[in-house]
Amino acid sequence: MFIKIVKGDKMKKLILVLLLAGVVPAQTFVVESVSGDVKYQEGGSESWVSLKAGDTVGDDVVISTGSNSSVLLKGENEQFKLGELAAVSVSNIKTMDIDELLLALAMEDIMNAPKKIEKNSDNTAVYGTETGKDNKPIIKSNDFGIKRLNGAVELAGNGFEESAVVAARETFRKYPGTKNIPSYRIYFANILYNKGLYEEALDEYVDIQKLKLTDEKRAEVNKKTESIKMKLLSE
Amino acid sequence: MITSINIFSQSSFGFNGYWGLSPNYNTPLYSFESNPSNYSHLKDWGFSFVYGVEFSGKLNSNIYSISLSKTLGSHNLSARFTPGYQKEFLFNTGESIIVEDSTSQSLTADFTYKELFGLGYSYKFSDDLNVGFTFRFFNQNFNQEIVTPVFDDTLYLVRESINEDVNFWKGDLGVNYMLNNNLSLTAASVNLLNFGEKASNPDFKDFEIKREIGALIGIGWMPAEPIGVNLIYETSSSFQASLNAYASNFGFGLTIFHDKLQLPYIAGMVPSVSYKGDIFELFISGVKYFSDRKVKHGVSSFLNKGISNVINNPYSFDKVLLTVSFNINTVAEKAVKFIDVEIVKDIYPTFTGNYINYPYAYGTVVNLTGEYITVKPSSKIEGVNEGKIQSPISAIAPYDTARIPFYIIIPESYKSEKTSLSYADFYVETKGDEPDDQFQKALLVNSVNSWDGRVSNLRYFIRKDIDFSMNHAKEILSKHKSELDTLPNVLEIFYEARILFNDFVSRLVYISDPRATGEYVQFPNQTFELKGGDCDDLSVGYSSLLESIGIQTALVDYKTNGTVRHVNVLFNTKLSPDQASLITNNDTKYFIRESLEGKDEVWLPVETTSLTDFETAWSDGADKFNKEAISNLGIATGKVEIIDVY
Amino acid sequence: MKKLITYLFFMSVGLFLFGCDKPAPTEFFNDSSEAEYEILSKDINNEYYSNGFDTTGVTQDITGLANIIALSGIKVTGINDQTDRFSFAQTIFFDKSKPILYSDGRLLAYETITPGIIKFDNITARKVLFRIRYRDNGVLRDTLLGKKYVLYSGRHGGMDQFHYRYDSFINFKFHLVPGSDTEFNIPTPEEITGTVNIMGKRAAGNLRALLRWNKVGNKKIIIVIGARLRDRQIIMPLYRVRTKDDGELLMPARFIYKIPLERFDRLVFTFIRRFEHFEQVNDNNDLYISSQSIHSIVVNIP
Repeated sequence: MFIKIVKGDKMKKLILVLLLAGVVPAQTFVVESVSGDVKYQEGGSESWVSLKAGDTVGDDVVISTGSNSSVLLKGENEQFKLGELAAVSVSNIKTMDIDELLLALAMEDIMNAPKKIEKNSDNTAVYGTETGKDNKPIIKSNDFGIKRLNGAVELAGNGFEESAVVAARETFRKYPGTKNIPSYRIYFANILYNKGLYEEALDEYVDIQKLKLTDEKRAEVNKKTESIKMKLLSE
Repeated sequence: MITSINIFSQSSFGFNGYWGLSPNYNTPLYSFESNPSNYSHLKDWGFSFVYGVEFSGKLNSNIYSISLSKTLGSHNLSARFTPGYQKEFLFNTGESIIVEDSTSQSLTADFTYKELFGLGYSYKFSDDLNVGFTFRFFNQNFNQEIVTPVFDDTLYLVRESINEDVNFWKGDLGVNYMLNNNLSLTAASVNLLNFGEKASNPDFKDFEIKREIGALIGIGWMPAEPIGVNLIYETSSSFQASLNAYASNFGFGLTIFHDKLQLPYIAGMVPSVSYKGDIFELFISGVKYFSDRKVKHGVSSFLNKGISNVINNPYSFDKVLLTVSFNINTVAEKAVKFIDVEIVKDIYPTFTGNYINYPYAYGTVVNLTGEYITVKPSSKIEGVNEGKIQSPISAIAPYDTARIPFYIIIPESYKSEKTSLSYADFYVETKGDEPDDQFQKALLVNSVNSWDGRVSNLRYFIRKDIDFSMNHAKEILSKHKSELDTLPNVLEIFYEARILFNDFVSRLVYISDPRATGEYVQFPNQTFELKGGDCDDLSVGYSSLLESIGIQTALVDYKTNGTVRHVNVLFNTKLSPDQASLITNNDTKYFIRESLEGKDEVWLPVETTSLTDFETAWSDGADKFNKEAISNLGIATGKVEIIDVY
Repeated sequence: MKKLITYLFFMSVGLFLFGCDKPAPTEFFNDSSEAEYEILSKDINNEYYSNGFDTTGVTQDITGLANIIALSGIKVTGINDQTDRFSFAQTIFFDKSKPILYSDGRLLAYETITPGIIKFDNITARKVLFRIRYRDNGVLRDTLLGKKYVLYSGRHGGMDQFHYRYDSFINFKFHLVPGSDTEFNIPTPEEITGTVNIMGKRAAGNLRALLRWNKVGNKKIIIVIGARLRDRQIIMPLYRVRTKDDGELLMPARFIYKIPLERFDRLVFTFIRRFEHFEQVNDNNDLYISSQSIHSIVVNIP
């Protein structure tokens, strides 16, 4: 039984539907309001298109804002505001539970080419003081990686903290330069910490300690590290 | 004058005495007399001869028997030549003639009864049950002087000799059954089958060996380990009873026997001592009759009572016999034995590595010895392997049972496109060249295109045809040489993959429904030839093209679609994440995987069934990957699996 | 292993050559009834023999040519199963100086003499002519040897008052003229009574005669097998079997089926229980005394 291919869109779509049958229904949002320069990229498209109020965006869409711009999206149950110089995948605007977050974090390792060599993590004890939790590490930049991180921060700010961590982690991989910005790293590590994911947080903190840190930040990280170690020991 | 003689066929008397089924010795079993079912302990060849001295007044010695026996699996064949199994009687016929000078001349008779040779066969249905038969060839030579009147012109008496050879076969069936280690039973017929000649001369008709049909039953009992008690009883009322004792290499036996035609009631005894070496057994036995055998008998006793047995009768003499037997094992002693073999995998001939790395069968093997042994397992699949394929050596503790894995190599040359039910021979050997045991088991050998549905096994289809793919890929790329030459090095892989994909799809005209061909995967050349295939075939084809020129690929196995899986391809552009922007503005279209060296690299998903162009296939692949592998956490939940082709 | 097999091979061949004796035969001594067979009438056309015998066709062989005293109690059972009884006594003296020869010089007989008076149980024996018929060079001849002494009584007239008494004694007296008297008693055996049972078939080659008689002891009896010449109604004695007086004899088939039917029509089985005595003083002075019970049974040749 063969299906003849007609090299046209209609037939192609049919086959894709056939192949993708059973996929969870896509989350869609309606653009409530747009301010300034807001663009989107759909599916595998290479180009950015301006987003207008009233547009519907599916989860194969990435939205990016320019400086002094913002967009408000409304979904069935949720609402999401993306501030300036930020980018977010619509698919990330979703509530995840802790288990899903852990699965998503594990995927990084699973994705890697086989037989990953275990890296020894340093375990240097450093001391410092705690800083405020609300210190959002927004950097104003047109660099798309930073925009992605800002988007992730926005996700966290809108209550999608788990999703935010996933988005941030993906960004750190795809834009390796962003990994070297301590404020973002600490921000997302703190989310893990606050969620009680101490081991995952500890890995992050230990990694962060290798970065160039201000005394204040180093103290914060060291304090967190110690705290986690105590917690893990007492378990 | 004689009218008839009671001469009966053999009874169960043997020159080594009766030893039952003699668990420690094989020698007494060469006696077809007491072992009509041809029971044997031999593992391979056995040879025995009996040499004896007879005290008949003078000493005369001769070979009584030479036997040869061979065990082949459960079968045993024995042959016996018995030059000493004979008895000759010389006597006057009771007639005489008065010749002209009035002197009387007695007429004499010379009757010789011989057992010449015998053949035996037995089959062991199990360690407990043996069934067999023996055929024995007898010769009777009658030589007698007679006087005949001749009426001519004158009447006169002619003294002449008449002579006749009468041969016959007799055959008997027997069964041996071991109730347990200490108790064995034997039952057999006596004179069940009879065929051969009958005396044509009326003078001899009444002197033939009588073959009355009867039966015998034997019981061997070991009340305590080194002591055995045996009894054999014939329906003709003759019997033998014996006591055996074993001590390390030595054995002792004492048999007493009763024969209805011999006196006293217990006619005699057969004491014997034996020694068992590694390959030989030695028996020295005596036959001592309780009546005086050197006394001369009148012919009337012979004529009245006859004999019951050629080698054991009222006129047999005391003897001393030496029996030497050799148990020659050209087949090594079985140290291990198969209990069962379990086939755990059907054979997919293309999955060569599968059977080298993972066993396709497990043999349950028992160590029959009291020592640690190492076992060399090997196996061979009929129609696939020319010779045996060795599997790793295993050690088995004394009397322990082990599960031994069997691996197999499918030769590159195996090309059968037919699925067939074949069988595999499994061997275990401990020493020497001959296997201790073998076992045969049926198994399914699929065609070279067969696939078990495991995406990880698709890599075998990719690798198998790699030469074809390489030639094809190089040919295509050479056409785009100028284009490729202008590119920065880092983008070379991306563009090569793109060119190869676009060429690939341009050659295909259809895709088939994977549900129809799910168990069948085409090799790349077949896909080109058929101009189509299902997702497996296309992914195999594209992956093979990339791999053939050194581009790393992985198969993505989407297990989410109910029974029908979907497969597409990921390939490694070798670009760093920072270089991803060189090929796309869309960061959802690529994925980062860390290499073995710890380097993050950009991988692109390609939907091979998107037979449009590379960009579409890439975009479709990314879309599917994002949704199912990433958003739906397919990678983490195992619903989507990335299988690297290496 | 190969070495071992070779070794075994040579060893067995060696032993085979060494051990080429065979088990000793068993020889039996003869303690069973024995039957001696003897031809009586070599020339079955020669009536010399018939002449030499009494009416039963059976008497002593005179070829030994000793002087003879013979006493017989005779029964003859015919094919009608009727039995006649006879008694017979005779004495023959030869003159060894007067041989009678065949034309080729062989000794045929001597002339007989009657040198005195002979009495059996005080009954004087008659002197009768003693004539024999024989074939010489194909020519049948009669010759008179002389006279002999005879007493006879039987079915065809009790000529003499002589009766053979079984298991008893009969007195013998000889009055030599001129000369002295000699007297002694001759013992007589128990009466013999036989039966003949012809078994089997001529065609099958298993024609046998089972002969039975009243057995008496360990001495031997004689059974003479005779046959009646078809053409001349004369009974020729053919063979004599001397066997134990144990009551039974199976005549082997060949002794019966070899008798040519075209020449003989009846068989006569004669059972003879005999006491005999032989005395030889010198070449010209010998005496053979016999006393016998005879039972002849006539059967048709089957």
